[in-house]
Amino acid sequence: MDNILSVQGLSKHFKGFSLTDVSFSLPKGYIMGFIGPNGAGKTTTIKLMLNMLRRDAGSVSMLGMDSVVRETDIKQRLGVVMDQAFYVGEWRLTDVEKALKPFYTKWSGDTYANLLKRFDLDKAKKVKDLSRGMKMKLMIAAALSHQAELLILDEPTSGLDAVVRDELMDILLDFISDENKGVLFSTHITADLEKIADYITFISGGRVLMSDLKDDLMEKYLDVRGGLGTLNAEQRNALIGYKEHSVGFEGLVEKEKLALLPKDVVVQPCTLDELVIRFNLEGKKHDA
Amino acid sequence: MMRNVVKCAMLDARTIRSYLKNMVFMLGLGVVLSLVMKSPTLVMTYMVVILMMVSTYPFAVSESNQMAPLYGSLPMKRWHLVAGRYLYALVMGILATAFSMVMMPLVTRLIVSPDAGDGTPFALLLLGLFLLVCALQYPIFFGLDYTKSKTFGMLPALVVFLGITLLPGLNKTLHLVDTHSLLSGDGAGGLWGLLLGFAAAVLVFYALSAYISFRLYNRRDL
Repeated sequence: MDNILSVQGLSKHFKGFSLTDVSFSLPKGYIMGFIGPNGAGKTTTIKLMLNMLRRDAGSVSMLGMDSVVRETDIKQRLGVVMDQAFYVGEWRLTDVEKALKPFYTKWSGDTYANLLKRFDLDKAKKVKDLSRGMKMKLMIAAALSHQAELLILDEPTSGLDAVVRDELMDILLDFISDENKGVLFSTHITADLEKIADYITFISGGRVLMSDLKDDLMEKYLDVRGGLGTLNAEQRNALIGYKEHSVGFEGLVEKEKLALLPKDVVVQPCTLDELVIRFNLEGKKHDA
Repeated sequence: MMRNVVKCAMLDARTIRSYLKNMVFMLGLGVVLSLVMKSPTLVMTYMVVILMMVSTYPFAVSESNQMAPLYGSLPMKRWHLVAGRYLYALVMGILATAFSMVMMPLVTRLIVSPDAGDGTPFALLLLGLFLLVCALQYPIFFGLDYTKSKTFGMLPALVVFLGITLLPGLNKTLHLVDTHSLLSGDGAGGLWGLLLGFAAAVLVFYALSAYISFRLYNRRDL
C-alpha cells in the first residue's frame, strides 16, 4: 500500500512539554483520525508536518516527498484546515480567492464558486461576519479549490453543532471517494471518528500510544469489569487504563491476554470512547 | 522563485488593503498641513511618517488575524515571505515618494514663488531614510512576534528622526550638507554624488537586513 503520509520519529521539545518519537503512516484512500486529549500534542504534530515549527528530530513524507526538501511542491497539493480561520477578517470571500489563487497552479475559480454555493456562503460577506461553522466551510472550500490530494484538518469540528459536524463528515467522505487521496484530521470528539475514520492514531502526553485500523483496534481490545479484589497484581498489569472505584474495577485487555483473567469478570466489546479513555489513563501512568 | 516573492509582496498589500482606506484622508491631511504651515517639504516628511506606520501593518494584521497557518499552508518558503515583505516596503516607498514629488510642486506653486526647486533630492533622501528605518525595524519584527517587537520597533525610527532634528545644528557646526542645494535640487557641492553614495549604502544595508530577517524568521516557531 502506498502511503500518502508518513511520519517517522518526530520529536520537539518545549519547556514543560515534549513531543517524543511520533510515528504513524496513512495509506492512500483512507481517513485517519488523530485523537488525543487537550494538550496531547495533536496541533504540535500538525504544525511540525507543515514546517511551522522547527523539529528536533524525525522526518515527514507527504505525497511521496520529503516535507522539507519538497515543501512548495507538497503544499501545491495539500489542503489545510485549522480550528480557527486564518484569513484577514476584513476580507470578503472574493478577496480570499484573490489572495490564494496566485499561489496555486491548479486553482479552479469554478470549483471555489460552486463550493461556496453548495455551502451556502455569500461571496460578498466578510470573513469576520461568518459563524464558526461557516468559517470551517470556507477553509474547506479553499482547500478543495486547488485540487488538493491530502487534507490535514486540526480540530475542524471543535465548537460546531451536530448538524454542521455531520455535513463536514459527508464532505470528507465525498473527498475520499477518490482512492488516491487521504485525510488526516485531529479531534477529541470520538463520535466523528466512529462515523468516518478508517485509521486511528492516539496521542497522549506527546507520545503515540496506538496507531492502527479502527476496526482492528476495536476487535483487539475488550472492555473488562469486575469486583474489587478479583485480580492479582499480574492480572492488573495486563489491563490497560486499570481503574478502581468503590464497587469494582474497569479496564481494557487485549483479546489474547483474556485467558489471564478470572472467568467471573464481565467482558464486552469496547467502544472508541472507552479505548480513548483507557489509553489516556495508561499514558498518564507512564508519565507519572 | 522570484514569482513567489512578488506573490508574497502582493499578499502583504492585500492583507493591509482594507486598513488603507483612511490613508486617503491622512494623505489629504498632509497636503492641507503643508499648505497651512507654508512648508512644501512637510508633504514629504508627513509621507514618510505614514509610510513608517504602514510598513509594519503586515506584521500587525497577520498577528491579529492569526495568519501563521496561512503562511504555513501556502506553497512558499519562509524566505519568499521575508523577501516579499521587503519588496512590499520598497514598492510602498517608491509609490509614496512619487506621490509626494507630484504634490510638492503643486503645494509650492500655491504658497510660494513658482521658481522654487523640485525637491527631488530631498524626496530621494527621505526614501532612503524610510528604507533605512525598515532595514533597522524588520529584523526585530521577523525575530519576535508583533506584540513584543512593537515596543522596540520604533526605536530605530526615533534614532533616525532625532538625527534629522539634530542635523541642522550639526550641519551649522560641521558644514556637513548644503541644505539650500538639497532643497533646490542644485547639483553643486557633489550633492548628487553624496546621494548616490547614500543610496548605495542604504541598498546594501537593506539587503543585509533582509538576510538577517530571514535567518531570524527561519529559526522561529510560528
